[in-house]
Amino acid sequence: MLKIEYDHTDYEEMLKHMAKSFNSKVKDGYMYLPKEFGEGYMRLITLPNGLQAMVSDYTLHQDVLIQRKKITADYFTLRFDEASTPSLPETSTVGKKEIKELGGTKSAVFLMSTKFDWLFLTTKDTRVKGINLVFSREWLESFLGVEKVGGIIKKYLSLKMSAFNYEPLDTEYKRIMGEVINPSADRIFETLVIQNRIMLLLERFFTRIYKKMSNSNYDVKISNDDLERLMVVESELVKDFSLVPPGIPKLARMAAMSPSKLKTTFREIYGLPIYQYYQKHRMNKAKAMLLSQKYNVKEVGMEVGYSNLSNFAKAFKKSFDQLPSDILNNK
Amino acid sequence: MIELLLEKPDYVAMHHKLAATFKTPIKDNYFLVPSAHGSGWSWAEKLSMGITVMASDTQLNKDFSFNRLANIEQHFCLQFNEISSEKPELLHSKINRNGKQVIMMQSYVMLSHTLAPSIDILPAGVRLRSLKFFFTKQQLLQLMDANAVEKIINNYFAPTIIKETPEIIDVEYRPILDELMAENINQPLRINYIQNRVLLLLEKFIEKQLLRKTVPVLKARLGESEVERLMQAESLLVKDYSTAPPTISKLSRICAMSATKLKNDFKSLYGVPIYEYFQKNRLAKAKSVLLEGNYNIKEVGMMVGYSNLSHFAAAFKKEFGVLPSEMMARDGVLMYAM
Repeated sequence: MLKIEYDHTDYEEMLKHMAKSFNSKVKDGYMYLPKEFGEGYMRLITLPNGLQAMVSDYTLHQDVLIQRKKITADYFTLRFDEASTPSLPETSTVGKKEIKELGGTKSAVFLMSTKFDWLFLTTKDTRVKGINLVFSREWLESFLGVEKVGGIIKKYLSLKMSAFNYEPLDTEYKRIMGEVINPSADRIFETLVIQNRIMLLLERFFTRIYKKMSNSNYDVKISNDDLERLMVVESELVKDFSLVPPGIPKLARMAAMSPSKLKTTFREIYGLPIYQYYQKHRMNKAKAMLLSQKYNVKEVGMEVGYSNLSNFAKAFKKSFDQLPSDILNNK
Repeated sequence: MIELLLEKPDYVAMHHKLAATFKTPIKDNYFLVPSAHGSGWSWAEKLSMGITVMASDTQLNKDFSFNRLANIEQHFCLQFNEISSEKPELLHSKINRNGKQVIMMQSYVMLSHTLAPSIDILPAGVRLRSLKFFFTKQQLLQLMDANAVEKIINNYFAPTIIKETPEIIDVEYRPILDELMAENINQPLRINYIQNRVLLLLEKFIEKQLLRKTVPVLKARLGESEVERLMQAESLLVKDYSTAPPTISKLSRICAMSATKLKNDFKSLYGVPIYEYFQKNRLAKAKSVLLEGNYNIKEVGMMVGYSNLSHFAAAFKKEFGVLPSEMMARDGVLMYAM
C-alpha cells in the first residue's frame, strides 16, 4: 500500500508533491500515474477568478491511502468524489452458498475544514473521478458576502465540524462534473466552460446547504447560546471513546435544554441523531488508527470502547463494508 | 413618444431612470409598471464581477425610445429580446423620428458595443420580454486567458458587431433564459445564480460564433421576414407547456407559409423538427423545475403537459438518460476516515 500525506493549501504545490510520491512528473498541469500505480491523471486547473481546482480521473493498480494532515490555517476544501469498484468474483462463502459481493459506485460531496485530518483509502482497481476545490475562509466569506443569506450560512460554517453537508452525488452534480472532466468545447475557451461549471457546482452546493438549514427552521429556533452549548455537548461526546458515552440526561443538563430539544437541535445542526453521530466518529477514529498500521485490532477495539471484539468487528463492518482485519491485511 | 437617455453603460442606473420616468417606486431593484403607463415588471442587478444586467417583461401605452450615448470606453452589450403583440401589424410598423425612419425592436439575440450610439424603439402595445447585460474586456479576462479574449474579440465579436447580425433564440438559450426571465428570482444565492446564468448565456453565444466560423451558414436562403415569422412560431411553441402545443396548421396560418415550407424552414433554422423542438424545451423546463425541489414528479409532469406519468418518465429518460426519479442521488455514500 502506498501512503501519501499532504497538508497543502496550494494545489500547485500539492500536485508536485503527489507527482513525487507517485514517481511521476507534472507537465502542462497534468500528472499521469505511472503504470505500476495505475492509469489516469490528476490535473491542476487555475481559474482566472483565482480558484484552484484539482480534477482527477484514474484507476489504481494498488491500494493507496491519501491523508490530509490538519493545519491551523483556516481553509476549506470542497470535494466531489466518485469511486467505482468492479464487481468482485466470489469473495466469501457462507455455508455452502457462495456470496457474490457486488461492486458499485459510491460518491460524496462535502465541504471540509483543513483544521481536521482526513483520510481516503482507495483500493486496487477502483476508478476515482473527482473535482476538488480549495479556498480560504476569506474567499468563502466574500463569495457568500454578496448574498442576503450569506451571514446565516457563515454562522453555520463557523461550527467546529470536520465536514459540512456530506451526501452522495446526484445526477445533476455528476452531469456538471462530467462537463468539467471531459469538456467538449473548443480549447480556446475551455477555461470559460470549466469556470462556469465550477461556479455552478459551488452555487448548487451552498444553495443545498441553505435549503437544508431553512427546512429545519435552523435560523429561527436555535439561538447563538444554544449553538454554543451544543458545541460543548458535541466535544464532550467525541472526547474519549474508551469511556461509556454520557447519557442523554447528562448531555441535556450540560446543554441546559430538555432532552427532546437537545435531540432535535443536535440533529439539525450536526445532521445525525446523537448516538449515530457518536458512532460515526468512533468508527472513523478506529479506521484512522488501523490505517496507521501501528495498532492491532484488539488495541483499536479497546481504545474505542469495545471490550467484545466481535461486536467491534460487526460495528466496523456496518460502517465501512470491511472488517477491521481487512484494513490491516491490506499492507 | 417617451424618450429615455442612457448616458453610461449601466443597466442598474438605467433601471432607476426608467422607474423615475414611470414615477414608480423601486424595491430590491424591482419595479412594476404603473397602469397609467402600461403593464409589466423589470429588475436589474449589479453582479459580483461588475456586470450589470436587466430583465423585463413590459407592454407600454406609448411609443418608447431608448437612446444610448456613445461611450469612449468600450463596453459590450448582449441582448435577448422577444416581441409579441395581439395585433401582428404593430410588429412591422415603421416609426418616423425627426423625419428619419427608425427600425424598431425585433426578436433576436444581438451583440453590440458602446463606441457608437444606439436608438431602440418599442412601439405602444407591443409586449417586450428582454434580458440584457453589459460587459467589458476586463471582465472577459476574468473568464478566459488573454489570448482567447483577444481572439474572441477580434475574430468573432468585431465582425458580428459590424454586420449587426442578429441571432435567433434557440433551444440552447431557452432553458437558461427561462430561469432568468422570472419576475422574482427566489434563490438563496441570488446574485451567484444570476451571474452564473448570465455567463452561461455568454458562453453559448461565444460557442455559436465559433461554430458559425467553421460551419457554412445554411440559413442564407431564408429571407429576413421569413426568419421573423419562424421566430414567432418558435416563441408560441414554447410559451406555455401546460396546454397542448399549437398544431402545425395553426402555426402555418400564423407564419403565412405552407405546412411543408414551415416544417422544412423551421428545421433548417432551429436544427430540429418542430415537435422535437417543443419536446426538448419542455423536458428541459421539467428538469429545471424538478431540480428546484419544490414540486414532486407528478406535479412537474402536469406542469409540462403530461397527464400520464409513465409517458412523462419515458420521455424524460429518452432525453436525459435517466428517469425523473433517478435525478436524486442513488449511490452509496463514499466513506472516509475523518
